Amino acid sequence: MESLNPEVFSFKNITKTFASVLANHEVSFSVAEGTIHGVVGENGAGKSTIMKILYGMFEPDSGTIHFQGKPRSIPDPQTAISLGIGMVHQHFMLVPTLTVWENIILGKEPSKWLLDKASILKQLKSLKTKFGFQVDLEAKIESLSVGHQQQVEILKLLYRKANILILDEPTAVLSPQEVESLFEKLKLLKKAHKTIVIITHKLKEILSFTDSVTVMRQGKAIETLPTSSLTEDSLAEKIIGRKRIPLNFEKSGFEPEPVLKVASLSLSEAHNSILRHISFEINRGEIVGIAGIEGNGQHELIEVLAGVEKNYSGTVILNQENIKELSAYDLKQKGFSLIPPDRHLEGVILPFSLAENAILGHHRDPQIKSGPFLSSTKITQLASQLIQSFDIRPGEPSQSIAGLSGGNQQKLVVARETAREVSFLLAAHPTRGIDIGAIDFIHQYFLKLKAQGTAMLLISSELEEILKLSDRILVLYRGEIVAQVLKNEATEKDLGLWMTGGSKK
Amino acid sequence: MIEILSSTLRLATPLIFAAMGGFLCERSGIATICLEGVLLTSAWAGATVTYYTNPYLGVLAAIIVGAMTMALHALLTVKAKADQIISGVAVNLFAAGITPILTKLLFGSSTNTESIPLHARLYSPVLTLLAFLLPFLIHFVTYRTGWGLRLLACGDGPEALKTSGVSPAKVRYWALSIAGAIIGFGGVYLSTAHASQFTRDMTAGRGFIALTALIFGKWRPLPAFIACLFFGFTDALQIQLQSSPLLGNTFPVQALQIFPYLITLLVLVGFIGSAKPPLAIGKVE
Amino acid sequence: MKPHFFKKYFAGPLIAVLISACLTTALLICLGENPSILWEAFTSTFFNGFGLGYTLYYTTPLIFTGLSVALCFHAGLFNIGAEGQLHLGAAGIIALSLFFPGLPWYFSIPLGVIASMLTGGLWGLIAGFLKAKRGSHEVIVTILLNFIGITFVNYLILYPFKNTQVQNPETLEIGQSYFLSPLSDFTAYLGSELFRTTPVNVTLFLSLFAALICYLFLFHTARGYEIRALGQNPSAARFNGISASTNTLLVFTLAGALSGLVGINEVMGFQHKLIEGFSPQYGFTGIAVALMARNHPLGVILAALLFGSIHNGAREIEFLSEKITKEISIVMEAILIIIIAGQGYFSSLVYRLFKRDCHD
Repeated sequence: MESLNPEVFSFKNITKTFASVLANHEVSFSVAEGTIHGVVGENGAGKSTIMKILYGMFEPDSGTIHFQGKPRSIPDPQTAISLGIGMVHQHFMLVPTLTVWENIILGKEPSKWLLDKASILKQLKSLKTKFGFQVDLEAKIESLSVGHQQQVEILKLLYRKANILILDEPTAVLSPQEVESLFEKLKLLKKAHKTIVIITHKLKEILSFTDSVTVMRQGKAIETLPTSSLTEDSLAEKIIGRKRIPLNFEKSGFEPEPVLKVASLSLSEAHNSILRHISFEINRGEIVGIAGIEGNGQHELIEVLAGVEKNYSGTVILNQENIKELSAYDLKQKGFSLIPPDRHLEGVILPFSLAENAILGHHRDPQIKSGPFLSSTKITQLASQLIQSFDIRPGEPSQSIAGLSGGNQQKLVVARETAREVSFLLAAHPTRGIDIGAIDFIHQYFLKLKAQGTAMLLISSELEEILKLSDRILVLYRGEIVAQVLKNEATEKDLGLWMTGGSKK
Repeated sequence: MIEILSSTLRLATPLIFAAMGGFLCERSGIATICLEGVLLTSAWAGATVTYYTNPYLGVLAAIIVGAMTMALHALLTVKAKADQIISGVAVNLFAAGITPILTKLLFGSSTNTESIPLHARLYSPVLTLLAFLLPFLIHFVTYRTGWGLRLLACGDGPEALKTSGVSPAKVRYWALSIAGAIIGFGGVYLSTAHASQFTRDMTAGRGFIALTALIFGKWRPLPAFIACLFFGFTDALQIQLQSSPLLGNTFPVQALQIFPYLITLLVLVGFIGSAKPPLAIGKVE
Repeated sequence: MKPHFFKKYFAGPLIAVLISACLTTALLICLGENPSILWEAFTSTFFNGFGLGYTLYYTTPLIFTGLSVALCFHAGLFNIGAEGQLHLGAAGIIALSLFFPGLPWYFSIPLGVIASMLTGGLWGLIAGFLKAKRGSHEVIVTILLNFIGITFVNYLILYPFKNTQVQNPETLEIGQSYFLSPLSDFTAYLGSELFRTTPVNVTLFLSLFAALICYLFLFHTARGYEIRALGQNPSAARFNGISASTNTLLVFTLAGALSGLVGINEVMGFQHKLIEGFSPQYGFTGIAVALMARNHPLGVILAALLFGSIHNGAREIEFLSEKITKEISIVMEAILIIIIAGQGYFSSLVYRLFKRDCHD
């Protein structure tokens, strides 16, 4: 289709399964040389898998890769590197204790023996200036910002003379400015005839920066087409595979009765101030959203509100009670509920059964005890209720929760956290990485809770989610609340500006 | 005084070999509590082969057996993905069990091998000299060469190393085998230079002292070397006091025996500086 | 019994035992010994009163150390320190008896149990404290504490508590009222010769009771739930009000106390004094026991019985064989640990082997 540029590689009917889960099914598409090519799709659509196959990290079950017109097997990353293919992973693959230059040459050192530091630095410096990178070659990785670490990753590929650069969700952790500067560099690279493949689920970036797009859905490559032929709506529709049912959002008002009062909350860690004078209130039946790029103090705010971080100044009052004296467990018994940011890390305990997971956070409750012992009948009963009311499948209480899909695991978390009277729900990234069905279910459920009078703080990296649910939006930037708007006053553009430290004109 | 110093050198020699071996292992990201076991098997092999042939083949045998014992640890931790501590315990037990059995088989007694006459033994200052050069060599290789870069990356970020196209498993096999060979020198020193025969459990915790020295040196070769000298000195002092006619049996030598462990514990828990192990240690891929 | 329960707790260990039996047989053949003595020794550890008595005597401390290690594993902690803790526990009893030699039995025996648990528990608590409050790695800490503890107890044996009447490095005897009855007393009362002249004593029942308590504690109490949750997912535990430091302190103290109880079997049950080097590495074997039991407290009983019988059988082998020494038990232990620790890999090897057979 891109008649000007020759094809550099293509997939022909690639199929890959992981332990009976179909990750890629008969995937075929091609990428033209010297273009920026987007691979889009929802989480779990198989985007990363197919590119990792190209990079030699996975071997396909069937199908072939054609490289510069010829079929080619790529059994390991080393082969990929020798073909000029490089990949920047979603989680950066750098050694934190080593310096930038050491990380760049790692695995492709000029000599296995004595390293001539001066000549290496000279070579890297010229590479750096050629593509406009600004990063201190002698700094240790652990001291660098995320944006700079990403530069190191890209430099590493260029040092290896990569001609095809695969970037897996490169903008997930970047501020809009950093995104801007990243794509400027990518354009320079494109000019130097490098091919760039970007795996993402962000429509805007695709539309404004790529030349062509492959849409993936449920492990299949649905379509590959030039970006110019797409609009945001048409692309979204292709990704989801159906039109989304708009959320039944009746803006029911809330009662001006504060449930949570945060006053002048500050927190410092190792002389860095992480949270600065944060003050806000949440009323009964109100949903307050916190917009912000990850790493601007969200994590610490969650820790303070959840009662696990106590070294803060200022006050947090929940239902007229100062939470400083309450342990995380007591807090949960007083009407506080938490949907933690990372399901596997904080939400569920994978080797435990559904029933055991259902009592987490309320495991000292006398209601599930008989005498000094936990009563397994009562626990099973409780779990069955949650399973039924949230339609969790498969719903056997004694089964390990590891066997459930992400969406069903998250449903159990939501069910557990809202099984009791909830006066304040802190929902952090409640729909991250789960299927659309479960997302809609959880969103509807939140509105139901709101109608029942639950006050809610929604922390999410998806602006869309925040805009959809919140009555009021606070913007968190570098540990400070830099803006506060009501739902109907907020535009995505303003929020984006505030999130990155800009001020509204 | 001179006596204590020369005794310090002698007692530090096996510690240095073991600690340097331990350095390579731990820096590659593999926890190594099996230094003791590797010392023991190589000490046995060194004494046995020296007894039957000559000291040169004895040294060679100790190196090979040391490397093989460490390769067992590598196989278990890298290939079989066993827990590194558990594997270390197993290797230590295996060494403690198999050496007396083989000793009994060859020499008829499970407690010791036949004594090797002085003229058929290794000239020990050669090994001591080697031990004193080794830390500098290892320091140089680790911090100035490509191999060293890979070793450090393997211990602090094996995932990153892997995506750079270098197999961490391979680095670990190499690191552990070389480490085993180095520890082999320590083993053969114990059984043929320091003593004249292999006796059951003759390592007597030296592997653990070496590990302790490595931790005391905060996982760096030169400080670990100093720690070995220091612990060798406390050991020499203890022996001196034990045999001193003045004090006789009244001085509790346990106070000195405890010393290396106690001071290392203080370092480890951060009362004296702080010590951080390589990041990937103990993690099964 | 549900099939998955069998698969989870029994299939692996049983296969491991079979494989290690085969490997040991092969080893015996290599060493030029008739492998039938393995069977002979093994049966003698179970099927006669004398052999069984010794097997159970060795089983008792292994139940304690196995529970100690298993309890820590549940909290995600590795207790290599059982060896040091059990030394301290044993010394605690001696100290108690030296201070109060003439207590009546209804005081001395419970106090003896408490003393061993307190001193062992204290040694565990130190490790727990350093882990919980200073963030030090518990493996290294417990290794260091082992050496410190054992050397300290050796000092006690050789200096303040020393029995100067004898040459051997051993302490004075404890008071008569501290003695626990050997099981042979009971069987003799019933007119049986079972366990005659063997040191197995009532501490065995204490160890079984401890296993039961541990089981109930871990799987049927809120605190046990917290400990397991902490071990499986520390961040989830944290956000749900499960304190890592409190539970680490508690678990290490309990583990130390359990290891300390080994002293009851040794000092009050049999030797009535403390001898330097009395433990044939019960603490390290406890790691093998816990692994074999998949950390299940009731499984620990069976696993301890297995290792007790291996330990006893090896002494029998040394007696039967001209060539093999009792260290064969340590080798068998090592082989068992290796097989269990690498089970995932070894079973995939076997699986591939069979798969290839099917294709050919």
